[in-house]
Amino acid sequence: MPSGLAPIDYAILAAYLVATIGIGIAIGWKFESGRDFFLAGRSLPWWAIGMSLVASDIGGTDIIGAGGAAYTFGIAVANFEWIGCVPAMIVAAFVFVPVFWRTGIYTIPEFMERRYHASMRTALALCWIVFMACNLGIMLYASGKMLNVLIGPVFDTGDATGRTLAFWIVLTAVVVGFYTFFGGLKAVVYTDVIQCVIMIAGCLLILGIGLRDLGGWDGMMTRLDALGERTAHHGDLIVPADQPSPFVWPAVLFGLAMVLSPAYWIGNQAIIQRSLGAKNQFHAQAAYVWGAVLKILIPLLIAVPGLIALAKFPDLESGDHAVPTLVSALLPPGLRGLFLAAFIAALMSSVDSYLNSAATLVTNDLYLRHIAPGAGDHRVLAVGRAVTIGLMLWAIGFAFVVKAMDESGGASGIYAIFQTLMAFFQGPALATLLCGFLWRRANAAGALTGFMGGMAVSIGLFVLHRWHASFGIEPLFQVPEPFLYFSVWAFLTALALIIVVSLATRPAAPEKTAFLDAPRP
Amino acid sequence: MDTPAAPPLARTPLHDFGDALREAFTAVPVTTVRWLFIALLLGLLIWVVTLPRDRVRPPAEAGAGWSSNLKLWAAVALVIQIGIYLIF
Repeated sequence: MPSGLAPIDYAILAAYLVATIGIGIAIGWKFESGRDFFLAGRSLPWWAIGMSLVASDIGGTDIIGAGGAAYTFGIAVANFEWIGCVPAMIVAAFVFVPVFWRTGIYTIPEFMERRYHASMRTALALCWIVFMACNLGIMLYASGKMLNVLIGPVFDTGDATGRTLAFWIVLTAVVVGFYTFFGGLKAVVYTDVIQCVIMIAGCLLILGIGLRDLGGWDGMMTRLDALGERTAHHGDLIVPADQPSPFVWPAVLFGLAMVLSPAYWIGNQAIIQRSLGAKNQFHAQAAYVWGAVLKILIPLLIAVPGLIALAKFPDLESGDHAVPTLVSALLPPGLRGLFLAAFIAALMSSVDSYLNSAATLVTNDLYLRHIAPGAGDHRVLAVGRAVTIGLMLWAIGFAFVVKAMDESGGASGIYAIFQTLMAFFQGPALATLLCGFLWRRANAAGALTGFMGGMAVSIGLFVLHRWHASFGIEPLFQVPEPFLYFSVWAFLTALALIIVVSLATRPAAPEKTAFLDAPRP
Repeated sequence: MDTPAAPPLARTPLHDFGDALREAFTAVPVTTVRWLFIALLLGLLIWVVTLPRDRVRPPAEAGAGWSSNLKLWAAVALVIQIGIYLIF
C-alpha cells in the first residue's frame, strides 16, 4: 500500500462509503414531491437535526484547520465553537426558528419576500447561490488536497499526486452527489447523524491517545509552558487586542459573536433549512438547543489535538501539518482507517449541506418564483434533482479550475477570498433579517437600500485595503485577511441605512408583518 | 543612476479612526474583557430563565416530563460556557 494504510483501514473506509450511499437510496426512493426532497416532508426529529447542524458546521478542513490554528495561535480558536456558536444558537432557538417554521417557508430569501419585497428575495438568493456554487468547488479541492496528504498517492505511476487529487475530488463528488440526488434533505440529515458519530469517535481517539501519551492535561500544559514566550497566550481564550493573532478579543466579540455567528445560525440557508424540515415547531427549537449542547464538546475534539501536536512536535513547518502528523505518529493500523473515515465524514457532511441548499435556492427562488410558478410536485422534484446533478458537475469543474490556479500560483489565499466574499453580504443580510423580525417599521425600501449599501461599504473597504498602494494610501487594517472587520462595518452601515430610509418612507403594509404573529399550531 | 524613491503612502481619516479604535481596545484590561464576555452570557442566561412556559415546552404534550423543558438545557449550556470563560 503506497500510503501505509493497512487492508483493515481500507475496509473501514469502503464500508463507510457504501453505507452512506445505501442510506441515501433507501431514504429517497419513495419521494414524490419537492417538499419531500427539500424539507424531508417535514418529518425530521430534533436529535437528528441537532447532530446534523454540528456535523455540517465542522468540515474536513476544520478538523485540520482548527487543529492547525490551535497549534499556531492557541486555544483561542475555540471561541469559534463557544461564544461564536452557543449564544446565537440559543437565541435562534427561542426567537427566530419558531417563526421560520410556522411561516412554512423553504428558504430565507422566501422569508425576505414575505416580509419585504421580491427584489430583496432575488438579491439575497443570487448572493447565496453564487457563493455556495463556488464554495462547493473550493471544498472539493481543499478536501482532495487533504486526502492526498493523509492517504498518499493511490496510483503508482505517472503523475501520481495529480491523478490522486483528481481521483479524490471526483470520488467525493460522486458519493455526495449520489445520496443527495436520491435522498435530498432527509438523506443529508441522516447521513450527517452517522457522520457526526464517526467524527466524534475518530477525534476522541486522537484526543485520548494523545493526552495519555503526554501524561494527561497537566503533562501537556507543562510541555507547552516549557516552550516559553511562543506559548504565552496559547492557554487563553481572550487574547489582548495588540497580539499578532487573528483571534484578538475585539474581532471575536464584535466580528464573530455579534455579526458572523448570528448571521450563520439565523441566516445561512444551509443551516436553517434543517430546522424547516422538523416534524413540528418544538422539534425545530429543540434541535438548536441540542446542537448548542453538543457544540460545547467540539473544541476538545478539534482544537486540543493541535495543542497535543505542539507539545509533541513543536518544530513542524506549518500548523496544518499538526493533525496529520499526530495521526501518523499515534494511531495504529485499523484506527487510522477510523480517523480517516471521520475526516471524510466531516468533509462530506459539509459538501452535502451546501449542495442540497444550493439546489433548494435555485429551484424555489429562481425556477418556481420566476420561471414556472405553477409547476406540480413531480416537476419540482425532478427539477430539484436535476439542479443537484448540475451543481455537482459544476463543482467538479470549478474544483479543477481552482487546482489549475493553485498550481500556477494564482490561488494563494483563495479560501480567505471566499470567506471575504461571504463577509460582503452576511452582515447586510443579518441587519435586514433582524430589522424584519424586531422592528415592524422596517420596509422594503429600507431593506434593499441597507442590503446594497452594506455590501457597497464592505466591497469598498476590501478594494481600498487590498489595492491600497494603487490608491497611494496605507493599508486600512493591520491583519492580513480582515474579513471579520468587513462584516462588522457592512452590518452597521446596513443597519443605519435600513433605519434612516424606512423612517423616511412609507411604513410596510400590515400584511407584511402580520404573518410574524401566526399562532403556534 | 538611483531609481527615485516611491512617494510615502498617505493616511486618511479612516486610518486615524481605525488607530483610535485599536488604541482604545488595547487599553481595555483583559480582566475587564473577560467580565464583558461573562456578562454577555449571564444576560442571556437570565433571559432564558425568564422565558414563558409556552415558548420552551411542547404544546400538545402537557404531561411531558422535566427533560422536555428546553429552558433547562439552554441554561445548562450557558452555565458551562460561563464556567469555561471564567477558567480560560
